Amino acid sequence: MNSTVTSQTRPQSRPLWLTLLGLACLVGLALGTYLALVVSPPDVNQGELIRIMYAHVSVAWICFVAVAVAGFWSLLYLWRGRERDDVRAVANAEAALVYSALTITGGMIYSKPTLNTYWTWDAKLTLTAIMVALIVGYFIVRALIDEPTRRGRVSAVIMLIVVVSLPFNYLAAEWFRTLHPQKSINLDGSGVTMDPSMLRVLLFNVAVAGLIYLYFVSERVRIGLFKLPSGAEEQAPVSTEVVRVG
Amino acid sequence: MLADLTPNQWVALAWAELFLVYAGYFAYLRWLARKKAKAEGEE
Repeated sequence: MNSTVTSQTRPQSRPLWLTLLGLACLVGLALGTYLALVVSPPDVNQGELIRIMYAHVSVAWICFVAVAVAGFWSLLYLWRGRERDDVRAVANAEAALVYSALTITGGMIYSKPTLNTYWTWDAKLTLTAIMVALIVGYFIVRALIDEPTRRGRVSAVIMLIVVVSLPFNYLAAEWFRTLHPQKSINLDGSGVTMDPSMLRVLLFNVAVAGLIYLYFVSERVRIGLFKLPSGAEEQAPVSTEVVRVG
Repeated sequence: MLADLTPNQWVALAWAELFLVYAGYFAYLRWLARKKAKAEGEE
């Protein structure tokens, strides 16, 4: 085993592609905001308030993606035990927390002027609140456990529980009575009930939110891998036993 | 009162919140990178 501990990447040396990705995020965000606030027509029912939808729906979709990807890396960590997988799971969990917080607060801002309430404890919103609570719990558990392998395993299981709640959250608006509007874009192939000019703006903003998510996760993984021993990737933590010598 | 906001003000609030959270997380990442770099420099 190589006993030399070397930095895999240094925070100072950000790769060019990551800097370019950051710039693309800025340009995309500016363009997406312009499309949503200026180019998009007002809605026949909601009027100007439809412009909140572009901010709310885009982050909600990416929140689901972040949770699913965090679950994927958590599963890999439980399977292979590589520290690098744990770093990637944490990066995605942080992004999931950011995007779920944006989803809830943006949804409340959207809900008040359109539905005359900030919040209601129906299935969809309650499941989303539980998801946020579980992600917060994920980080609390990580802060409470010092031993890295146990910390990674316990938090990975929590993230998998969050992933299990995703399908229920996605379908809650169809299964239960809720104030949350029905989906305008149905993934089951039953069509899109949205004006094409609005759909284009929405999809562009979803792409921008996805690009920003990619930037955040890439940067967080880079920082997380900093000072990781160069051989850590190949070494699955076999045992956590402490052996006294002498 | 938030309830007295006009529709355009609600729209501005929603987008401002989005920008603020993005900027906040970006600032956190910069802080974390600096902290780790500093820790490495002290070793």
